[in-house]
Amino acid sequence: MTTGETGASSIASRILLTDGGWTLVEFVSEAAALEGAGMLRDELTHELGARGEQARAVIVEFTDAEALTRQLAELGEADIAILTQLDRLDARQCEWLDLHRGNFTGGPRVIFLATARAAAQLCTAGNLVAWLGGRHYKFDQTEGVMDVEARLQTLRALHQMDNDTMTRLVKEKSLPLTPEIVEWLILLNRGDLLDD
Amino acid sequence: MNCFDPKGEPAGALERGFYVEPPAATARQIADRLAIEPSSSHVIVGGVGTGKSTELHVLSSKVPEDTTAFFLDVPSEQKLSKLRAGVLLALTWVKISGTVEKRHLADDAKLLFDRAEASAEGFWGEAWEGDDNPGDLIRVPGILEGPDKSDNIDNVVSGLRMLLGSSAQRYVVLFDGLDRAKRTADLVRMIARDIRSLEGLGIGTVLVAPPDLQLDLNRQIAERFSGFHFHLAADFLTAAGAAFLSQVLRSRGDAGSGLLAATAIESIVSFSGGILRDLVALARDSAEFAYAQGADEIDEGHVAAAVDRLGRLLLLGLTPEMTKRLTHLRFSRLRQKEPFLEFTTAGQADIDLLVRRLVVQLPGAIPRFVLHPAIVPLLPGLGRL
Repeated sequence: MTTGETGASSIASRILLTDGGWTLVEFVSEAAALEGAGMLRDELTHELGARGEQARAVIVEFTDAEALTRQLAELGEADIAILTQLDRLDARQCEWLDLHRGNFTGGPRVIFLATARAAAQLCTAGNLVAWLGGRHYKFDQTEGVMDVEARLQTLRALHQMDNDTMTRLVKEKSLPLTPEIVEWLILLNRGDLLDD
Repeated sequence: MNCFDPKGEPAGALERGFYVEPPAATARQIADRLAIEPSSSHVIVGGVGTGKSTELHVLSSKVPEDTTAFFLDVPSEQKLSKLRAGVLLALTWVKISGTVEKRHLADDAKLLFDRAEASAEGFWGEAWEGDDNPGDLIRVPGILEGPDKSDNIDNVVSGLRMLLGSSAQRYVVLFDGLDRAKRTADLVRMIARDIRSLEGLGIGTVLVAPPDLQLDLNRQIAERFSGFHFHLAADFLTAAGAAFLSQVLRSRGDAGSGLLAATAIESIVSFSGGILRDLVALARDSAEFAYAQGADEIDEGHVAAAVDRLGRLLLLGLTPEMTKRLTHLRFSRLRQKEPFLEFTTAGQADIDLLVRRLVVQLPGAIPRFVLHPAIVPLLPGLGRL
């Protein structure tokens, strides 16, 4: 078993396993972290909604440590703060956050979205990081994204015919439109054949 | 799984019945001493995540009936740059004066009250002739906001003496959070002066202090306290320590869904390093791996994955000095049979290793140190992580 990369959906469901606790998610770049923040917020919002919870998942842009304390104080204990722009975190800010950890007691769950550099910087705040336990994920941006060619290959093998044969048979109306055939057509961008 | 939250508030964990008295029984020892000597002063020193704040919360419910305990997270109340002599006194004033109805005081006592309040917290007054805007209302800072002045401190001491003299009520103040502060000359002066003043006023104090207060340089400060208590990691290498840690997990496991297999508990205990917060985090993360696999019970494989993840996080962001020191400690450990390290907290790199709990101090008459068990399997690859 490894602790390899994990995507937005898995991270969201794991975070929601517990009411408390903080999480560190590592990204390859700050740009990827910003993109991942939106994906995580959407996943968390969807999951929270499905569970009928009133809590919110909110993206919080890090500017400085004292401002962060005020921003988190505005959120409820059940809310989830997704922290971005952590490349702005320096040694002084880390020290401040570590010392004032008590300010975050009773505050929202926090997800730090950090590059490797920012994650290493954050880990110098020993008291703060102790709240993570071992909850540290490397973000997999491709999780949940279908490999279209691999899926087409599976469908061709399953039905023992190539793409052209399948589309010809559909046009001739000699192939029933099962869910798999519909999926195959859509993957080939031939959804128009479903209207005929 | 909510019973396994490493960020869980100590007060909340106590309410849910998760508290298991540790072998050191720090809270009970201090409570017993305060019952006999109400104005005694105590300092607690220990690593991150060992349950010091929990002991303070337990203590607040163990004080004698005629005593009121106040819990204070000092860094939440006062900025780091303004921790200096008089601050602990002023914070104590704010708590105790908050229990008093000023209108019931005699006129001369009201005068002392006002003076102490202004000295501790500051006041609004008119700017004088010669100021930028004479006649305007300006804020005159007190100890908690401005520079310390000895007459401010004297006023607060007088105010507290007046309040305590007119009441049979006793007080103990529990100062938490100073273990997260770096030791500075101002901080040491604050602790030394204020604890002595509070003791003189008959107020009991318990203070969680920076870990380096135990170093030789600060012996003089440590000796000012009536009691010096090490609240370290539980000794997971002894049967008693392991039994305590298992009991902590079982108390939470029973409260949850009883997910933990006996072998998993044993494994979590041995990799926790005796640090309560890591114990709880490993249980939670093991449960997370079990959940991801759709397993009904946490087994040793799930624990191994959680240990690997915790170890990697602990090793993240090491400085070159810390890496070098860890490598040295690893090789010196390999040469001997005992797991204990030849380790002193003489240098900053060693203090950093302790603060980041890469090295764990275990209780005993002679200090013993071990590498955090979660990092040991990863050390051969250190530098390539």
